[in-house]
Amino acid sequence: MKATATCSRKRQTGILLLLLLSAAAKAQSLNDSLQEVKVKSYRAVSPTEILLQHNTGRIQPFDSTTLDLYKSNSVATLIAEQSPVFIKSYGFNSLSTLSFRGASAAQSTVLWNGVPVNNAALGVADLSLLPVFFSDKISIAYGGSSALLGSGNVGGALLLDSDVPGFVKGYKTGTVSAAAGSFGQKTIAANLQANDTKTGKWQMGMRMLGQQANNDFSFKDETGHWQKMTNSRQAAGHLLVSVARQLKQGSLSLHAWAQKAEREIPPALFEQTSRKQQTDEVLRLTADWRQGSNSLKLAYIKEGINYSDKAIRLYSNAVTHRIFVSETWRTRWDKHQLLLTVPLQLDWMAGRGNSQHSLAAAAFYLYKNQRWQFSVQSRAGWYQEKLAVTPGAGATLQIKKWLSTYLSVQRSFRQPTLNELYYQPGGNAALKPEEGWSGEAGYRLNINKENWQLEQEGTGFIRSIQNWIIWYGGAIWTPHNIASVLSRGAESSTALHWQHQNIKATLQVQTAYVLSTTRKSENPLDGSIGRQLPYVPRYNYRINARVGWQDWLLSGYWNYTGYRFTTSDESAYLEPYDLTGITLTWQTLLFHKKWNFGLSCHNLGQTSYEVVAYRPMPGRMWQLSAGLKFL
Amino acid sequence: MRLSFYQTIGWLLLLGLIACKKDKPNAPEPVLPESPHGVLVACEGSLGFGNAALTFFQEGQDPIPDVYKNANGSTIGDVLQSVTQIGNRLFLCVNNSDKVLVIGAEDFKLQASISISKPRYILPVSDTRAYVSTLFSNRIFEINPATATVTDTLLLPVQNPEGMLLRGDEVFVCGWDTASQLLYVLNTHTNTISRTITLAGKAPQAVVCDGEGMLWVLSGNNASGIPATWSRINPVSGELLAAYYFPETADPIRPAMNPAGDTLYWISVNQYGGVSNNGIYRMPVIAGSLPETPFIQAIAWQYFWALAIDPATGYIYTGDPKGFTQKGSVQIYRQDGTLQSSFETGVGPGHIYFQ
Repeated sequence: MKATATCSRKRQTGILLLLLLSAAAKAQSLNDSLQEVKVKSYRAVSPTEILLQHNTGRIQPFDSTTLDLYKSNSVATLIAEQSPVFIKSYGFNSLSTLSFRGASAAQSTVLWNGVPVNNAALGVADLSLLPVFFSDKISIAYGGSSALLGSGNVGGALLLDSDVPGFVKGYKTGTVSAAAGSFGQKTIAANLQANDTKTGKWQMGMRMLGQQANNDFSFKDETGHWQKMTNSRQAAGHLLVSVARQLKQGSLSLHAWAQKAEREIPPALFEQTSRKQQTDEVLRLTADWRQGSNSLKLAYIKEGINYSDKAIRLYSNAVTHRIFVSETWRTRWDKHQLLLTVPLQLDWMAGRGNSQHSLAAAAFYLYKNQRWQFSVQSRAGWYQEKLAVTPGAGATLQIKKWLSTYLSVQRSFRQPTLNELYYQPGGNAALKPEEGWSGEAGYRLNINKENWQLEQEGTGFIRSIQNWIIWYGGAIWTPHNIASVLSRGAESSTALHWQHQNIKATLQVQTAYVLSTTRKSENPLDGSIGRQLPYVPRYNYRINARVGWQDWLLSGYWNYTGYRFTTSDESAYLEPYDLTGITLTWQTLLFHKKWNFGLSCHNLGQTSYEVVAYRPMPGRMWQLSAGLKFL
Repeated sequence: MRLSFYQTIGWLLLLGLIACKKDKPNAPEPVLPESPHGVLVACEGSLGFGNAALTFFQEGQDPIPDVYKNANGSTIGDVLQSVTQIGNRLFLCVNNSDKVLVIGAEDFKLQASISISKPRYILPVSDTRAYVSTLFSNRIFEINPATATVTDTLLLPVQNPEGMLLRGDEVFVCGWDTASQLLYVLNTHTNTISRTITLAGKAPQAVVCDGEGMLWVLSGNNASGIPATWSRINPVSGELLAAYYFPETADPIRPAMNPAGDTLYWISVNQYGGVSNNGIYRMPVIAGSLPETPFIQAIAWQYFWALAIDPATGYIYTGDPKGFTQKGSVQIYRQDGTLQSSFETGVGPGHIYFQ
């Protein structure tokens, strides 16, 4: 066994040396591998674009280099390794959800091209099923933006966006890539995009991704014995077809994203075996028409979750539908901007007759000069015939050329989900919406000196939510409005860049400190008052480093996730863990084509850890990838 | 003092690492009881969380939240449904971990583990035979407690064999199946169904015996819309002696008989935050109708999940699971319904035993 491990280690070292030697032999630089965000200037005519361009709170966009590094991974892996946002992962092949600043998964919104893609029944999005490869831009908007993004945006939002089509005559590009790694992981992906050669007014694109994995990693059980994960195979396929047409005035973009994932659900440590399986099938269709200052968005989403546990003969098939329509109009005069949007959303569950609808009208006003930026926004939403108004305001002051500060307040609102209201057994149709206020203040600095650059952002936040929905129960779980929760904390992000000739280096430190405690409860016997919410780590640290030289890029991360309580009274907890990872990529010309190769290792330190209790996570994982740009 | 550019960078990098609150929680020391005689509380834990526990309590001492973990260094598993003492060993049905753990009744050390799918309750028949009821199947397993092995499998015509009661050489079995209105009677010599008894309501779940030797069978499945009923049965003739019909919203569970066998107790659960049909009820076995008000009223947002009557004192022990998201508690009431004392338990106290 030891000999095999040594042999394997020698092979891995050999591959690394081979790659390093090839680098030395090659002098020609193909492109700048540390090139940051792909900048495409366009007029923001949707709430998410306004949020990205003018939000007073904290926004974390991931640069194209980072997205390239994670193109074979899920969005869950990207967020967990490159941001201080806590990803609650139930292990391989299981649910991975967002937790922003102590908010629940249902209080976080995931938007794809401005359309909410949280499951209509559950109210959460499974990030393990969203591949990085299917988005051109990925950003995190910290803090609630209920006025712009609507119900459910309490803790923050994850924004997945496609590039705005560029109508260039005869433009075409095509890439294909493949990756293979530990535990039988295989990924193959392709991206094709072409404009017509006569006028350039038509653009067609297609992305495909296929994944397969055994995920049969070894882990230590409670008694310290090594076990091999069973019932853990997974296969998934994604297809995204995009068509865009430049009109006389404006453009029309159509996207169709179909995905299917079949996964076995491995046993938890307290289970002897598992015969659980889940099939997820999702179809997302969007149409986006833009003309000058107008934007009309139409979307339809059908999502089916087919779950079975043959051990107890349990079979369920939950199919949900969503129709989303949004008209947005924007104008600007002098230093003023005004955006009006009217979104309509209708969600329903097939077969059960349960539905939910909302109609809202929101306005966003912005004044901006060289020193100040003020914004006021408000949304009036009718959720199941009940009116909810969510106002907000923000200000940014450019104190010095290198230093700015900001302050914002926002009312938050979340309508209970279809499952919370109607799930049988356990749904509670009498649930009230979660409501509250949040505020944040922070500063940004950007100092340049010679070949050094320092960027830092520090943010403090506070949020109070009433009617917090919490699930209680033994055999049957029922949601209740029982708690008032106060969340507060601080986040920081510090990035230090250095450049010398053709060497670029970046060191980034991100931290998050979150106190999210129950403040009040309807139950006088509740032991959770003043206690940290379950699965909200108080401390998260992320350190990322990158060095780029010519066509080589070496990047690594070290993450620390603090203690997480597993009960609401802090009586049980999970140990903290730290993870390290490293990736080496190389781009080269072979046969007159651009190639890229990558070798990455996640959990380099072979840490035994659980994000959620009794769901072991994998140890060291290697991945080798190759990509070809053939067009 | 003016900081240089590089000093500024250093201080700012350190800024984010400043800790504000001690992160490491205080972990209690693992202790074991000096004497094994006390109260055992089977704490289910939250379904799917794997945090079942066996709480031990002795009057005048601090409760031990999980005596199993302290004795063995590992956790019980997911959903500790019941504990049965056979000889000097305890048999723990760990429902969602598909196993029956066998531990010493005095040192709580693990001696054996029996693989059984979704075990619920164990009924000892002799020193070498015991029946194990199961959920999500129609199987009753026969085990040999001495060797901790499965020796036979009995099949019922209905799903979810649940509560069982031994009387002579017959075992009365409730099949908690929403389509079933029968009580099955097994012959312990042949391991076959010898007869059936028709009940007043569907989905029988538990059976107890009163001081007159009559059986009380609790039926119903509130979540599936099957209203609850009590059936008082003559175990010899199978005659239905009395029937009591609960309101549709009532969800009675955990029946218990007082030591004299003349008063029946049960919990009515309201999981929706209200106080109606929520608390501990009791009724004389000769009563003509169900009590309208609880003997011990649960407050809003509270409900009880465990109930037992101390055979020595007659005190009533109730378990409050507090939503199964935190430590639960056990309250000890006197016979007049006044609170004597209480103690903390693990998550989801579901059954209470006296040893």
